[in-house]
Amino acid sequence: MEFQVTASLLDACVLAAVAEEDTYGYALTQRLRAVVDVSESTLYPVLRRLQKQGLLSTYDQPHNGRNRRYYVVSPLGRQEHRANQEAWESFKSRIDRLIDGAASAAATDGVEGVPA
Amino acid sequence: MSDHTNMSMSEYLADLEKHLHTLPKEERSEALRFFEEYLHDQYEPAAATADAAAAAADAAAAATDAAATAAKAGITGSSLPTPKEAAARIKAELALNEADARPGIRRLAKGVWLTFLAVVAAPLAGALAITAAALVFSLLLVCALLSLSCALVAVSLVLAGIVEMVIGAYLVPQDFPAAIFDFGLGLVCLGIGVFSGIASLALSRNALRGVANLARRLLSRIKREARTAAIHLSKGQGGIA
Repeated sequence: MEFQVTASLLDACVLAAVAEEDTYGYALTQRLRAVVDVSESTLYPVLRRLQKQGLLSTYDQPHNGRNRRYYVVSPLGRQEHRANQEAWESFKSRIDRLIDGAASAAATDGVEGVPA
Repeated sequence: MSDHTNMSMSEYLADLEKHLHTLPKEERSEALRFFEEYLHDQYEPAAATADAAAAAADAAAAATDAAATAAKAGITGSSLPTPKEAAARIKAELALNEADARPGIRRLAKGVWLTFLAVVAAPLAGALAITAAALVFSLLLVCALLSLSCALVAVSLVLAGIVEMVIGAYLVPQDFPAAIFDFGLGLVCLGIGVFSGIASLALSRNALRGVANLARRLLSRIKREARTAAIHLSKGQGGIA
């Protein structure tokens, strides 16, 4: 079963990937596509939105006779990234408890009245 | 859907530009730059491998040449969507951002419209949007009709009051007690009319505010849905991954 990535989760993923290291459009797309199932055209709007929200900024660097636009996380973006990390940690552990809890309940199937 | 896999890079970009012509100049050139860079980067590694034998000093130039050749040969192998789809996504996102940046009741209508445009580009959220729009519209209609009927009652009470008072004034020489009665009745009507007019105005303003708040909440929900829907809409429609 495939879980769908929501817009807010994708925003968090993009921010995290750029926080890892400054990167450019193509590399960022490949990095994300290795992890989440998104189309190549999805990322431009996300990057543009994060840029407008002041979470990302850009700088140009020459590459093979042209300029490559690199994305970098702003101080505000760092804050947001840390908040995302905490939110994700809490979300993940709640879901883990539920799913793992269900798994261990299935393992002890037939034993009734087991205190949680 | 037009086949865009045989397009050259410049054809792709020209087509994209055409589909983005409604956007502000800055937004358009930002988007074009991104996709141009993306296509260059996409073909560069392949081109560089093909020219691995080239001298290290020439590698960069060779890579650029090879990339240009690849570009001319067409963007085969690219999983980019058609220029039209890419443009729709960009426009949708811009519309959603615009809608975010517009607070206030008066600008809410603009926000609703822009979100509608975005939703059209991401039809998966369409059902939700249409339901919400219908709900908000009918609530607005109810508010408007209620306010209108309250206003009509108030206006007719005021008019009746004035007429009664005039009749009362005419009756003074003939029948003083009846004149006083009519005048008094007129005053009562006028008073109730003015009071209910003010009350209905306040009521309709509050009701309107309520509907606006509801619309705003629905709007932000739909925007979330539209963004998520857009992610999954554009996935798998590139058709050539």
